[in-house]
Amino acid sequence: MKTFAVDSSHTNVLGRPNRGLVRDACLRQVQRPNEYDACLMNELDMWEGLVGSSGLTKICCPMGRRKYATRPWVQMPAEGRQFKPVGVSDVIGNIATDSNIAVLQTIVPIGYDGVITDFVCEVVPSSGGVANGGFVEGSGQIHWRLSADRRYLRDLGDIQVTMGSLVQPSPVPRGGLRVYSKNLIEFDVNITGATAALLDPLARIVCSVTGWFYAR
Amino acid sequence: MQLAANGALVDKPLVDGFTLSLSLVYQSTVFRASALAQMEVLRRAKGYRVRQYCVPDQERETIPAFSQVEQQINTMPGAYLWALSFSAPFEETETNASSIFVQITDACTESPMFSDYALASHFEALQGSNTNGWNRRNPSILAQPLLIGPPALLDVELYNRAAVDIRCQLVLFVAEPCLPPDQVLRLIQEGGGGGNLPPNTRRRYY
Repeated sequence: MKTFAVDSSHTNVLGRPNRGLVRDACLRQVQRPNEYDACLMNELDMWEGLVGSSGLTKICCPMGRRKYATRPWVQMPAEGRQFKPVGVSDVIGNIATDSNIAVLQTIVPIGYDGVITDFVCEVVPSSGGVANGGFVEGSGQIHWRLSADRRYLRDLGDIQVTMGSLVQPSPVPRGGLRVYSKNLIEFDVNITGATAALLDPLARIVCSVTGWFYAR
Repeated sequence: MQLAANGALVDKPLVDGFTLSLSLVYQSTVFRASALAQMEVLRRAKGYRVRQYCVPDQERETIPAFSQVEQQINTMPGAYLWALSFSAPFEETETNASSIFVQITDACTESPMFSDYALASHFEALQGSNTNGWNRRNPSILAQPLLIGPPALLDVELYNRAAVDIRCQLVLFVAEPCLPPDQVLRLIQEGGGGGNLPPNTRRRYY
């Protein structure tokens, strides 16, 4: 059994528990708070104080490292490292159909987190081939899937249209996508078998992601 | 509280839904007992009540294939998240719990609960089977309750990596103050119980 060191003020609370009704916002009768509620309020107050004075990073930041002035996933810090890996597939004629084939794979460095701000998924026709390699936008002939550690990233788990180009990448919808240390970032492509014959067999698929890593 | 032989004030044994459960052997060496001990202050506080929040809610009851559900939960400042439970119809839980990834983020501090997205199977209720017809739904109790500070918003994300829509639900068990912090403080001070509160506790939260 646990012994609590409480002063007489606490026993006063216990001594007169029913002095007046306490009602919540919906007029339901609730019990009067006791010393344990006071203890929990203390904790809330400490947490508030901690958040108000720069939060946990102030305490947990490794010695000697300057705290980021802004959130590093919103604005790239000076010591951040940009990345833009590009993946090019084999010719479409050689790609297995109806399965996810990784066109681009990259790993977030250990000790770094990152954010993906832009991406590219497009079909590059062969020389003299038809525009877009015969791919009809939104037809479901090709699905692109961007994932980190097997988890499809927000809104990018099933892309059915080409987005951006290597010259002008497409921004990620609804802000950057955060990735974490040692995440395997994969850009997969899935070609529907029934429609593969409609695509230029010599066209290639290009995928890319752009963003930055920062020390966590 | 009661008076012990040596004159110290001693807490009465705690009797609540956890200790009264007949399906659980309450041994001091098991995780559950230790986790409940961490919740002792919370269990003894009178100004808290249990709320359970479901994600996704009834309007968005499935998580589309290759997609996600994001939902914001609005609770009370000073609430504690103390358990999670992931459940789905039996066959779906069996095959798809490892296809759902979960992350819970405090919207105020933007601090995520997990260092990376966690598999929902970690919070899966104990499996029954189709043959015996029962499914226990014991929530996974956190090692320590998680305090939710003002403005008391939690962003819950569920990602589905399967090629099919999944019908499932994550339930967040929250102990929520019955009254706003201001009112609790006032009542504690009226009752003379504010003696150990630091002076800055008396500021307004809203």
